[in-house]
Amino acid sequence: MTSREQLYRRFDVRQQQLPRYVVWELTLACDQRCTHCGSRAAEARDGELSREEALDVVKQLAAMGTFECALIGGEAYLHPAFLDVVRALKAHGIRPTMTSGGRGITKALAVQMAEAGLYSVSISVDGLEATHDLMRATRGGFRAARSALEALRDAGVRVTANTNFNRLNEGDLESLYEVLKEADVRAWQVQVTVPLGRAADRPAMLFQPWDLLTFLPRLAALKERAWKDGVVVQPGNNLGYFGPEEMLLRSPAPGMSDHFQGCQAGKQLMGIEADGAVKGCPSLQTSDYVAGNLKTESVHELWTRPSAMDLTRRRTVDDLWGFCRTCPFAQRCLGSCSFTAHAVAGRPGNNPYCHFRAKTLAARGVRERLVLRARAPGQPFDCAEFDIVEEPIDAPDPRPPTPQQLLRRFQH
Amino acid sequence: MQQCQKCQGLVPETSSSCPNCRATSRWWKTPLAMLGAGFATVTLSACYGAPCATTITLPDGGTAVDNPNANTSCGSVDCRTPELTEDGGVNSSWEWYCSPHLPSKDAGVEDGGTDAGP
Repeated sequence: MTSREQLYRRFDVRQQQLPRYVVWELTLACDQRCTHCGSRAAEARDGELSREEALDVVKQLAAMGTFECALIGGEAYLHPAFLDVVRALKAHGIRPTMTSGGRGITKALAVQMAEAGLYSVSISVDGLEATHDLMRATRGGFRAARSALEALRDAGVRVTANTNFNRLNEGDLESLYEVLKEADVRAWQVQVTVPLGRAADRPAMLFQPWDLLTFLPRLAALKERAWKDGVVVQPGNNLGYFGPEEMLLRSPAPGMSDHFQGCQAGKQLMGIEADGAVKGCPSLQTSDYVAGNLKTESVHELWTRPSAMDLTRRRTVDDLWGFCRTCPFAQRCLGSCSFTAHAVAGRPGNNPYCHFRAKTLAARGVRERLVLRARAPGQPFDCAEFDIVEEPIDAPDPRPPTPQQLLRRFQH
Repeated sequence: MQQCQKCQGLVPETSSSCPNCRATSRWWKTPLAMLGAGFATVTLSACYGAPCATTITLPDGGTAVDNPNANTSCGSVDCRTPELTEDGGVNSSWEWYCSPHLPSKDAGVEDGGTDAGP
């Protein structure tokens, strides 16, 4: 037996930049109208990739060394070639995974997905039943998500879950964990809702940066508890950064020392929109970061020629601004998540959604508040404009109460 | 990077005190996991999806488990025999898991080592 210790499923941050991990919006058609959806998914885009075009993209991804491809939407299963794409990915040695709201995943479809070779599915669950159905604007959405988890698990597909946290559902954090654990979910991806797409239309739903002062420690405590239960709670790239709990939050197992390594958009990650537009990350703003289109250029050309794909490849501390420019973690963090920073600050390189930043400002007796200046135009992956206002840490909170706060007031 | 034993936060090389709690260097220690790291890593599926466990059969016949903490199994990979695709190329998943264990220039050490300890 080898003496090599246990290995972990992580990216090696190699010199060679390749689209190892691809997130592919197969269609923008969706069977839900979630109030926080960054892509404003509803109907299919004009000119979505056909079956033949999609299967050709799969071949190109294989040639580029893609390791894993997560199919998203809309709902990927609403694309007529969904199962063919899954089969093709598998046949070309690319791990096919999926992120889904799960509303249309019947037992029969789950079996078809398993037979096609789908590796795992992450079901989006946005809170306990009342909150989930409110955020997804779908009565019965929570039960549908639970049914999808069950159908997939019974069909032999690995199931995980993901949740966008914000003011509406942050109170559900610990209770939702128990629900997911009961549903046999063994890995849970946690992110914060960013003002992108429909979420940008609802600023009262969003966390203010100071909310991270309480949310991150709660999440860290939950993660420690989850490890004992055999469940991995893993923060997404837009949740952090470099507070006291950084290593705990970022590491996939106890005793590890992971930390945030900067935005990987265009370095190891690539996003594809349903009409063939390519970005360094699927969540990047379409208006600013589309490198080109797969209908006119190959994956290789789009990845290698100078384009918006270069967003993070040459980023240095000199590209940062505001608090992030002078942060002691600047060299490692490089301004954190690019699409999040752009969504709240207008361009990458300065992100107020940061635990270390909120904590540092709180020690000085101040906090930052995002104030809506201009509404989003209403396109997929679009942004509103915000001012970042510094105010005393104990200033009144001008946000309207959440339904849970109203309920608590009523009960008292 | 070092870890502050007072608050558990990380301390960059250039800091004279812990950015999170202001503790001085006598509180700092390089985490064991960083000392052994040959290259920097970030968690896979950081934006979408989540990890599961894969059993890897190494070239010498030994085994290792990728993400053993996950109860969900991802199956197994045998590094002794390359897995080929329909086109005759090497399966990307196989390459991903096995390349760190093969005697090639991609074996890891030259890949940066930014997290390696002193």
